[in-house]
Amino acid sequence: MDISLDNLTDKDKEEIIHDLVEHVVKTEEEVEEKETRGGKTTDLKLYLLDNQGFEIGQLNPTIEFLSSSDNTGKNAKSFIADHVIDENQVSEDISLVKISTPSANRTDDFIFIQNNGYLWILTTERKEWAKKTVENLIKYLPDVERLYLSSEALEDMVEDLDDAYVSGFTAKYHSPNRTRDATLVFHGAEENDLDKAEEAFQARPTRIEFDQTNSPAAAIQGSQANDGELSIESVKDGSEAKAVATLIGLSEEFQNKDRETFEVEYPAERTVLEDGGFSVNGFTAIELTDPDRDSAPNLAAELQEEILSSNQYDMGRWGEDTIFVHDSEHQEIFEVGLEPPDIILYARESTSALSLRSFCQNIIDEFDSTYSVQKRQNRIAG
Amino acid sequence: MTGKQNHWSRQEREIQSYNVFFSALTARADPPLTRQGFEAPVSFPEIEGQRENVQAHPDFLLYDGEICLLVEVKQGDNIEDEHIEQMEECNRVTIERAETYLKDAEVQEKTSYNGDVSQVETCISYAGLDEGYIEKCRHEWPNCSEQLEELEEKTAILGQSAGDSLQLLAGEFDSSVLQSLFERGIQLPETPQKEFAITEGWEKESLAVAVCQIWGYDAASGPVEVTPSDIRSHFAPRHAIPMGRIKRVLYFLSEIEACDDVSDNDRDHVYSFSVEHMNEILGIVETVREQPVEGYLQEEGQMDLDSFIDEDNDEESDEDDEGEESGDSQQ
Repeated sequence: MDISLDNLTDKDKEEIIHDLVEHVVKTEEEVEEKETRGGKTTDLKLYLLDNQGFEIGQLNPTIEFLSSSDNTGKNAKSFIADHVIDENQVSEDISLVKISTPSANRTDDFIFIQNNGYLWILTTERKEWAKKTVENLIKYLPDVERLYLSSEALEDMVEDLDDAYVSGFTAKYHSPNRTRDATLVFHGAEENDLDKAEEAFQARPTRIEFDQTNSPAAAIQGSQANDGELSIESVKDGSEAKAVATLIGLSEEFQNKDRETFEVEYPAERTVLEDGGFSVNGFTAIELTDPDRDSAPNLAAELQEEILSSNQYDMGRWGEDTIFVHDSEHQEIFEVGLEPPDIILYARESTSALSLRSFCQNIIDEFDSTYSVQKRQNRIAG
Repeated sequence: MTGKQNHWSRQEREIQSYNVFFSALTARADPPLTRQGFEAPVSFPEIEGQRENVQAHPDFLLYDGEICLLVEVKQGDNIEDEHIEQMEECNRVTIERAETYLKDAEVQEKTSYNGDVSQVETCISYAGLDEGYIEKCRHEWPNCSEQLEELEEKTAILGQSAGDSLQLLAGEFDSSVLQSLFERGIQLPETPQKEFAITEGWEKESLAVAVCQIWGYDAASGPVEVTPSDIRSHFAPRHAIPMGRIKRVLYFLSEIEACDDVSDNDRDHVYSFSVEHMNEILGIVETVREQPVEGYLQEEGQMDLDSFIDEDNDEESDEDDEGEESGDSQQ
């Protein structure tokens, strides 16, 4: 990605995104020639991260710290050993990060933008290299976490997008209920194909490709994945401004939906009052419901085996239907209520979106992709 | 060991009855009480009634800006004389007393209303009651019907059940809002959150669970040190938990490795919870379910060290209330 520090100076995020969109602009002829998607295109990718404390300008010292800290995992340490990571701050909220891979003799460039409690990482590097470099870095950085959306929310977003329609998708099905573990990749989708995939296979989208018209013809091709990755694959000459607006609009919408699903807005704070009584301020539950099975007699054992046995979690039971979970990665405790086949996550005093999101993602990615996700919350006092 | 297991299951039923009632206030209930404007500014309040030095001790106080509803929760289905007395005490709370209590600075902070009360209402909710039982009680069991009639004169009687509903079964509210709300009933979640972990009797097992939930869980984000006095102060002034009992429970928690004894000397006890103990902290319920605290300590051949003399000498009994409640002991 040939963007130099000089090119970035004094630009705000819209201007920078506009420059990056230029990388994927195609002429009318090129658009017409381009029958299929994919291939080794350098599309513009935007990773959306929940930011719970990372600051622009602090990447280099953070890497130095991680390289020698006893708490850093083996994989993170070998990633740092094999790559040279260098952050150059552009402004208070923006920096250019170069990740070099000496063994392949290459350097990949990424732009980091801090945005109201979120971190955006933009690049036009090829997916295979983004995967090997920045996607690993995100995993090993403390305080940042990729956003995550349920399939329903992912579909809603495309429906809400102006002049856009679903033109392809990847949908997955796996459930402890049946041994089938399916991935549907669908190009050239039409209206209702998503619903058909769900009806026929219970497969739910994890990535949706869309085309957006700038009437009359398709002008923008993009996609969004449920783990916080948006991309713009091609933009017709003259539609750059619309592409910038689409990318920023989708990002904000993705953030809102993530917040709606996982943010603990009414923490279960407890206060002991002067007379010895106490008060619980708020309540937050995330319900995972309606999976592709009616009963799950061994739900607790299944969860233990598939999810809770990993190093990320410690657990303890209270009777048949309640599990207390410690998420060591995020240093939080939450409560799981079992209403087989449904699973309920309850926020306790220290619980934040980080551990709730991560647990839901583990359930849907690893355990059973057929759950629907819904937050229920209210204020109890005050 | 089944007898021992009953020992925990009785405590668990009591704890569960608080959690089931509380779930009616949460967004998983249908409709949640909060949708009607009710808030729960305080659980386990202590409110002056009309008699000198006698307080009402409802389990919950609900408030919607006009009505102050005092709720007593019971784990079984048996209507006892003591319940009737408790409701009488709640009935003695006047509008003025309720307002005074609510306007107490701390409590007022916990409501979004101005603290004015136009009505004080009371109700008692039984975990084991349903329409069928009330029917039998009224028509088939003379002793029961006498108690029922006396209680329903004094207060509204509700039945509650997880996964089912919270419903008016006998007696009535003065307020038409409450009357129609509880006649319709509130659907409750099947697995309510375990927000409460303590019994009114403060038995060692539930105290061990509460200490793990209050101090142990905080260790997720760094070590937490606690002394017996810290725990005693936390639950004061309403409860004066015997110091010996707290020490015994902390000693037990250190023995099962839910925390470390980091005391410098034999006199000043300090215990430290940290992330290394997390499996034992989270698993405390299973531990006390398997064996009572004292049973474990005796089996391990733990001698009573001088510093762990069990000062409270409380015979663990299967009674509901062991007189640790100041209110109960003063009646």
